[in-house]
Amino acid sequence: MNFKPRAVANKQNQQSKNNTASTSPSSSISLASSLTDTQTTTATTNAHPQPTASTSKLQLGAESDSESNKQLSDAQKVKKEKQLAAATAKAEAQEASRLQEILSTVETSLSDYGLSMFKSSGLLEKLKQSHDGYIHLQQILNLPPVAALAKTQFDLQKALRSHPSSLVELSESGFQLRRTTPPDYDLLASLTPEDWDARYLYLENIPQVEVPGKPHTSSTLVPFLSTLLNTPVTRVILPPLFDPLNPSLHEDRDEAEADSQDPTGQSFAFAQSQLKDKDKGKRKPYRGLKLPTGGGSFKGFAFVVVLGDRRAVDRILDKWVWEREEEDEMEEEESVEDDDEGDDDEGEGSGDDDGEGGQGVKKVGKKSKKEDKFDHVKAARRSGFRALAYSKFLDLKREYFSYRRQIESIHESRAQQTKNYSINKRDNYHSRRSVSPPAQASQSQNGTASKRWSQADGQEEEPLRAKIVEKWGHEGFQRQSARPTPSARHNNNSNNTNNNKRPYQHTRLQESKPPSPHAVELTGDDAVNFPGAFPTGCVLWIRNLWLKSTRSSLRNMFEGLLEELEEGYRKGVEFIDYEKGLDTCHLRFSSSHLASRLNDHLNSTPLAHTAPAILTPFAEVDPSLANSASDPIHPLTSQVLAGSRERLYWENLPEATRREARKFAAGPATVAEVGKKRRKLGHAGDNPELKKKLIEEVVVKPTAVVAEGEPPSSDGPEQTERKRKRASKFS
Amino acid sequence: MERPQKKQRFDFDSPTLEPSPPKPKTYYQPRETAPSSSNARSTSLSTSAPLESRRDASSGRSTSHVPDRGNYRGYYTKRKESQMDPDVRLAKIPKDWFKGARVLDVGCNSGVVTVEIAQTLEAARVTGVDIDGTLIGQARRYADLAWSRQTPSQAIKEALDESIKDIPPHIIKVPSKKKKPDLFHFPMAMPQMFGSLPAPPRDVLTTYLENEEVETVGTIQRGKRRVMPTEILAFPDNLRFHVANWPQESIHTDRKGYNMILAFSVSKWIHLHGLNAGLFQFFSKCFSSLLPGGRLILEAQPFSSYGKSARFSGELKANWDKLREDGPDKGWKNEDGDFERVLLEEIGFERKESLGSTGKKGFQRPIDVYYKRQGSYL
Repeated sequence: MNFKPRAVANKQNQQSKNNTASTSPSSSISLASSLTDTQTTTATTNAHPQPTASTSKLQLGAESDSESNKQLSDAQKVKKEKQLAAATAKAEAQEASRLQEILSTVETSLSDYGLSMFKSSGLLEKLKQSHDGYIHLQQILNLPPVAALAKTQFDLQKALRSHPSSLVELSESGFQLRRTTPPDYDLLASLTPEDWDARYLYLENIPQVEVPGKPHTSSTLVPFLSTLLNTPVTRVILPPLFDPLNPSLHEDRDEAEADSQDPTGQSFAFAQSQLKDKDKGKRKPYRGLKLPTGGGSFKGFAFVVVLGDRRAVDRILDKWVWEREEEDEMEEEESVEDDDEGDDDEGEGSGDDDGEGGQGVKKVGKKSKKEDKFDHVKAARRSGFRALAYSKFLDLKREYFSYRRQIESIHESRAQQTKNYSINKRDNYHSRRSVSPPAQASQSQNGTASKRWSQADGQEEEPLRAKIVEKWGHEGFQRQSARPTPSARHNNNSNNTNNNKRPYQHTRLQESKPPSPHAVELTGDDAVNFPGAFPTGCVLWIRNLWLKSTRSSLRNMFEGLLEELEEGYRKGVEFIDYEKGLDTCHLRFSSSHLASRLNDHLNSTPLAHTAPAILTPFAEVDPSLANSASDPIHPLTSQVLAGSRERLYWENLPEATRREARKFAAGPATVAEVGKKRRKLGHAGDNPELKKKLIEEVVVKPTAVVAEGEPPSSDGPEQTERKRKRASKFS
Repeated sequence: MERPQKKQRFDFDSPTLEPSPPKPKTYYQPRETAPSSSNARSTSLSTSAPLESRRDASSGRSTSHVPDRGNYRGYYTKRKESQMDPDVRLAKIPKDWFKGARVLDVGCNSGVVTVEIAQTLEAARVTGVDIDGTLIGQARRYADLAWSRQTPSQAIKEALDESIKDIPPHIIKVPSKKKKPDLFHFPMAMPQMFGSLPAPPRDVLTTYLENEEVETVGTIQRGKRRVMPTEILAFPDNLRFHVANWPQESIHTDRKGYNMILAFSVSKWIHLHGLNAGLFQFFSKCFSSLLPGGRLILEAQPFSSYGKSARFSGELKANWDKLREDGPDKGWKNEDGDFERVLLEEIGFERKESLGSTGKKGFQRPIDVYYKRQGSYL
């Protein structure tokens, strides 16, 4: 887009000065108007630069200002000038890129390619009919792609004058336009889009000969490649390079979509105009590769459109063959290139600029007398220049993406294995938990109850575990049981035992990172009351959703699914974080049990999301649909958020939401350290007594706040009382 | 003075595989002609050079790049006939030497040769080391590109078929006529426009090379003993690059030793910077890093080419003068067989073999192999 903004802007500067001197009527009008209102418009145009002739206005205004505003103090003047300069620079750059856009659109429309591909525009006929090859600007302006960018003939004039064009030229009057080289009307008229297909070529290892030390641009490549290929090249496309920050732009998808990405670009304009054409059937899938001008820099490869018959194309493909047989071509070439390199050792002479350029210097210097073409061919042989038909390129592109997909799915399946392992672990955890009473929330109300249960649990745990180990002989279990039971050490609180085991489970997993060193896990009352804490394992991340889902459709679907799995828990889906157009969402459940239940279900039976509220077993999906290259269907995958991702999720929610969630979940909760006290808490680590103490400090004060949802009963003070008692028990 | 210092370094960084061969003291004697005091001398070789190298590496990005260590930019675009052809020097080396070998490429520049070894010659581990960080960056990108361009690996497809049953494979059948993988299967536009391919999990491409049983001769146990198969990592995994001034700094792959060390066109720069002592240090580092039976493949520049290279800095010029003139620092000349004499008689290599010479005029240099003795470490 920003095509040499500085250089063009300068040119533009001169251009507008010339305009004032010359006879162009419209520009002098705009100048006159600008002289009157520059004072007021400068500030506003800064914010909203008018797309029309505002730059020249501003610029000239700046010049006239300095003369007329003598009443302003110097300081004000300087300040004003600075602002003006900034404003003009910005507007200039924008204007320049816009003009560039217009110019290249006009050039494309009038190029052989454009004239032939968009025959329905009638431009070719009009050119043919006009006796001297000139065509009026208004007719250009009527072309839909141009009309999308330029509003007036004046715009067109400016664009055409802004940059010298090798393809089109303005008449002296400034209202007529023609091609510098008249096109071959009959050939262009006879070419169908299918003919153009064959003329698309991909070239790589293009040698750097033309301008040594400077990379090629599309304008230097056209003559160079024309000589090298011995065929006229009408278009050179240098695509933009992969941007790791914005990988989605380069994804393999329908080219039409890629076009709509940039509604200001000329490719979009062409696409729009073509939709109006009657022959929609002939729409080319290659449209997407027509990238905006200046989109990419030269990296040794280019897409070109050559003008020549089939034989010429075949000759190119034969000469610069893509897949070379083992060294038969090289032998014959070696006799030609022999003498001139390496007479200075290692060529240190050109060591300080990039090597490709350095090579060019020598070549050009030594062989300038010889024939250009010979030189080009030699350099091309040396660099391994080769050509590929564009259709083959697209085949390879498809292969490339499917290959990438293969590698990725290997990684995914590995991750899946790890995850399955973690699911087993989690199941173990829940099977043990379900032995303890379901209504854990009652603990917070009833201190004695919790005590009783904890003792019961402590006694019950050992035989139960032994039973499970006996039954399943699971490796993970054996390891767990091999550890000394924490309940033996302190069986005051049943949850404490769970709590101590959790980090151990986490360390076994690769995918869900262990909680950060300062994250603290809480249980029982603390889990409910601790401000800032969030219930653990309640958020599910689901991918590969149907792209056109809405939040309500997702809610209906998942609630239905949950109802099926766990009767009566339809309302277990607390919240759905989903943005339209994405294929991922976050589901928040009221308890971690429900989250893991759904997670297990999705992971054990692959389901595909094929319609708003329909989940099909993946095995029943039509395989042709599932494997289609453009829009393959994947089964839903889900993952319980853990570690830092879970923390981030909760951190973005308001405290009120977290409090509600804690209350409902009534399970273990995690708190990420924030303040000083909490950091201390983090350092307390496994030492349960120190931890308790610190938790007291934080929790005791805000109990009133926590309890505010309930009627202001005597509960608050009672709780604190109880906590104190318990704390004293520890100390 | 030098020796204990150096020994300390080695003890700290890596256990030496081989007790150092007897080194003649003469090379570590202070130079009488040098006007430096004894204090300055202690920092002469082993400390000053790494510092310099670090400066070198950091200034690599600056606009005025001086390739005073042979760290030319775009070296291989000059050196190679065509970018798509294999390196001529590698072609001289028998292919089976590389199979399953641990290879070190000293002074790898932008890694073209290093990548070729890793990609086509089935080496188990390939390490490229260069003093210039910018070049190593280029080398890593080049390796990425090379991986993304080669023919899809059959092993990946098989691994996919095996491991994934519930996830759809998304396989498009690709007819594979050729047995030999095409290194330039995909256009180079693809990694550049769509991003390069991720490397597969390590074990997918790893193969194992069966080793022959070894006859053991001992008092307690006699007879055949099975040897663990060698793990051969495939291309993207078997390649690592490091920025280091290798003769003086050790890198972690040194610990396990190498079967082969390639020193292509680096001896001149080491010689010019460190004089005979520096070169000796380099040779002995090569020797101690090689496994028993290992090979040092040396492509040394002729002494006559030193003069041109010395122009990059005043220090090099001074060193060049020292090397040229008669005196204690008179430089060894490869042409006159000095290198051979030092390597065989003083460093301790067993024998030398010549692989012929490659290149035209300016690049025409002999390639020699020096063998380290077979046997155990002790």
